[in-house]
Amino acid sequence: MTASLFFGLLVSGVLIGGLYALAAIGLSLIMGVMRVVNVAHGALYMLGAFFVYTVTVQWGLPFPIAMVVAVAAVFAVGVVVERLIVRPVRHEEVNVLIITFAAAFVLEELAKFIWNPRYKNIPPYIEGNVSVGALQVDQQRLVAFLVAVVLIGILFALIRHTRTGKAIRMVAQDEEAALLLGIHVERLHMLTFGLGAALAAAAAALLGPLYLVYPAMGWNPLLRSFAIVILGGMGSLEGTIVAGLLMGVIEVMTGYFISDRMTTVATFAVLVLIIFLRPTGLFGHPVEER
Amino acid sequence: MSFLRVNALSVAYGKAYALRGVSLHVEEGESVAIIGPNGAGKTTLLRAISGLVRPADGDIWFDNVRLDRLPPHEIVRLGIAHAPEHRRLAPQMTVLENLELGAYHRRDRKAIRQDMEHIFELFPRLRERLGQHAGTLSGGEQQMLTIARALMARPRLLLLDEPSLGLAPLVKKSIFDALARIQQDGVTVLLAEQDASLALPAVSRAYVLESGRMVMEGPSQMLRQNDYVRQTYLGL
Repeated sequence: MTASLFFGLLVSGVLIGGLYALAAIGLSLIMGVMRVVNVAHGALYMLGAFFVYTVTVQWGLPFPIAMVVAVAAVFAVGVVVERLIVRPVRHEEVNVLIITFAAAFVLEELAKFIWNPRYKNIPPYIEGNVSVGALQVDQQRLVAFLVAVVLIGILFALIRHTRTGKAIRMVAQDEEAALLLGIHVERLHMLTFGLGAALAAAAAALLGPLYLVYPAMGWNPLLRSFAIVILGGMGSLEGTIVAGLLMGVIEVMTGYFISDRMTTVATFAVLVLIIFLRPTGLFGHPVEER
Repeated sequence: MSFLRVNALSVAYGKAYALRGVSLHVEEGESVAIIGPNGAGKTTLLRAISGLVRPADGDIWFDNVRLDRLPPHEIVRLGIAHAPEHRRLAPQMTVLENLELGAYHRRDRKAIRQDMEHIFELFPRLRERLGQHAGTLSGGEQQMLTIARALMARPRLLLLDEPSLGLAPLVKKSIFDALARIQQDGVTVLLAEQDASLALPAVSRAYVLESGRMVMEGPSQMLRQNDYVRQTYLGL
């Protein structure tokens, strides 16, 4: 194997990994702040892709508009899902798991009903290659990666520096103490859930032209996002980013050296290995006892 | 009508009653202590006032507003700040961020900055630790930060739960010195404290809570001379 081939695979792994990180970070955020697992994350991702399809293909509007519409619409769906079905059962983790699993199926059936079950394509929003050093890179993948980086940067800035962001971190660290500070915890949960959903939709939009769009398309990204969140360490957004990039590289390498069909198996293998060997993930802390 | 009034309050966790028919009042500008052994229900009483637990019976009034049906975040807005047992800071956030969160419900930026300056006069150590994560502070510093965070809400009533818990005697004393100055600033204080020898001298009136019932109340001067209190709580 030549160094330039390896470098090429590394670059394309990192580029796709940035989008995997964006897809997973919403799941990670919801877990960290609300301590629940949102199994509907993949279905919300799927909805994002369908909204982009409608706005670009059916309405003929430019891609950036489609992305904004998809992100806003899925944010709203996320808020409604949290308010209607997650909040009433939030203190029973298993119930949240089951109810969001059911919600994923409902959203999938709704997608079949509103659109149809057939495979769809979203046309590329940018075409052509750019050269990075000696390397030819698909321009669309590069732009998608850069947008993902910017979006993740904005998320971090919001959480680190705004009043609401600080309140969200307080809720993540001690929900009851947050109540005593006058923080409307339930409202922030709704916001966090909506934000998590919106981030999934953003990833789906940016990845849209790379994959087929169909109602069951969300399950694979869901599994991958679980693997990334666990690999990075639950509740650590930084860990999710590193793990996302790593997962991109692992998948690209697996695809090249073994087979494209084995990438999901590789994802699953990483998930199992990390749960067996280091359940707290790369950056996770063991749950703090009070 | 009293500033804070708790009437015949009962709180149950499942079938076990933590409080049974407890009444208490605090007047504006006053400092009142609740003493009693571990598990007597002191923390539950403060949690009921803050809206963290719903009473099974009885009612709670603050400045003519009924509290026992309000959510905690609205109770904070009425002017009640609660420095909880075990501190409950955000360990992975800085001292400054914890203080900012104390003022979360306020919008008066200038006054917030002034209050922070005032708090640094009260607890100079916090100014030195401003950029440090709260989880890295010593126990005493964490307790100071807990009280400081509550003060950042600019409360009219301060609920203090076991501020001396787990602290060395000298640190306890510095916490209670700060408390004396907070009282001088005109903040009304309701203090729950196991250590009666610290609590009683710091307040004008006190209640003795045992197994969920109020067994005694009176001016702290009087309680300090009471035989039962002297034997049971002051170890004299």
